[in-house]
Amino acid sequence: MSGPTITVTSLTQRHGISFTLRVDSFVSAGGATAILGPNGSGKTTLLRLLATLTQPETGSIRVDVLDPTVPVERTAIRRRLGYVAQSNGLPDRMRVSEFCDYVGALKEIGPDRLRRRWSAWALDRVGLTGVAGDRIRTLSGGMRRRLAIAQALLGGPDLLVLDEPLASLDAEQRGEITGLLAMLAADANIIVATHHADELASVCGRVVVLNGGRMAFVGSPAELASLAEGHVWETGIPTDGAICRAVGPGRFHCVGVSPPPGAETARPSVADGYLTLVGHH
Amino acid sequence: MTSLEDLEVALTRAADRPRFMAGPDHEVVDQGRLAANFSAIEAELDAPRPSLLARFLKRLGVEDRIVPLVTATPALRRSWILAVMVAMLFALNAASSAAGSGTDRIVVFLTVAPLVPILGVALAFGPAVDPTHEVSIAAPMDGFRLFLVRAITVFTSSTAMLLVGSLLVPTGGAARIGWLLPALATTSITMALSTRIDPRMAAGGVGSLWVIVVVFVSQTATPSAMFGPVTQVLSVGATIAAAVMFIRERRHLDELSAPEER
Repeated sequence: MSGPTITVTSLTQRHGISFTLRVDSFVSAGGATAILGPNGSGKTTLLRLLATLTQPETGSIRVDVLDPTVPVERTAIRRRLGYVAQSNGLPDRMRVSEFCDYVGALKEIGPDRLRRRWSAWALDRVGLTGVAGDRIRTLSGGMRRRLAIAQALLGGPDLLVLDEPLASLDAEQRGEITGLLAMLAADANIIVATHHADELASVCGRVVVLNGGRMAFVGSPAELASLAEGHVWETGIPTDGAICRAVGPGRFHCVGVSPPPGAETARPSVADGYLTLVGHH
Repeated sequence: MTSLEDLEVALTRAADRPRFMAGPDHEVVDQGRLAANFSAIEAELDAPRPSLLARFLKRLGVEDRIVPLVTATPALRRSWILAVMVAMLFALNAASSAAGSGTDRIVVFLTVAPLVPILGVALAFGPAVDPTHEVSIAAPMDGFRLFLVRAITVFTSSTAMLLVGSLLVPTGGAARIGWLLPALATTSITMALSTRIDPRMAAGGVGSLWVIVVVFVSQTATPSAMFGPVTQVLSVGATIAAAVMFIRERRHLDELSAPEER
């Protein structure tokens, strides 16, 4: 595994008057790290800090030895960064290839022939080669998400910060992007905020869970899943007070405080561990 | 069929038959290098034709890495150009139908003209008008340079249109371009303030203040007094002071301000 090591130490960041993100220390050294948490838990705030878009009020972030609060070092971090914003950040009026060319120029890739090669490569990675000449406004939601990922890949960054990269994608596309992230994780440090805990568990070596602006968990996916040990069962009818999903005809997978009499305990997944931790949101 | 399409057909066939690329000694070349060469050629073949604006800028000699930054400027839309022309026509119409003589007749045009580039700056940078703002901040190119490129783009394009409009002004002699230095000053002040506040707010404040001052001076002296030598000298001073502030506060353009999502 390679890519820079990110070291986070006792971060706090206020957001408005009612919300403060507090993150204890954790280290992300190569591979992929999933940031999980309910809506409004501070995932985007944390990702923006890690992507050097904002600066922490207290605490510190280091990317290898680089300090993002020092302008020159922040630029050095950005030279190896690929970022996907939660809102895609796509200009509707531009063509797909024009947009890649624009982001390539922002990433100081030149000359234009080299930018075109990077664009062709990145669009190929996310399966958008066929729409390179199309206007962005004509793309579907899934295509827009994949284009947002493609721009992050321009220049071959070894630090990827991705805010909900699987949002708006169907199951097949999520599988393809998860596969792509698994491949990239061999050479890069990937930080990814997601609601698809189980799908990204196979890619991520570590998980950070945020809840109400606090860091509620940091550890491996297996350790997170183990938190639900004894709290997961399968039954023929949904159990009151538990979160249940259909897993087959007349079969429900439930997470709750304790299984009802006669229920068959099941092996917990990463999502089960997450649900146990955040109090069944 | 175009020559590019001919080339693509030939290359596609060649890709299926690697020996086509064999050297004189009939050894097949390194397949990895061959694939890389094919992908480079394909990227060139598949690249859509650059836009008219991009080709025009390249003809003008604008640097290759600057061209995409200029063409992506949010304010450079047909609707913006149309809005500038409509505003100018109104100002010109007011000048032709106004009473008085000389510069007094064209004071509406001279007042409206500096508002055009500052509105352009308000539409050229910032999270409210640019969907790529967050991605731009995360890129290594500093926000100062990006903002400067866009502001120069907007200022140059709107000034060119306004200069054409000035030629159509019915009277005024050299005074018909009396708006130019005040426009440079108000645009510079808008840019300097935009390092700390939303550019739309900065443009709104500077534009309003400009109109208030012009109206006030018109009430207390002649309508054209605002565009005399004193204002021109003050405009140069304000431009320099604003440029210094813009450069000093440039670091704020490299961070995301007041993000909404958490």
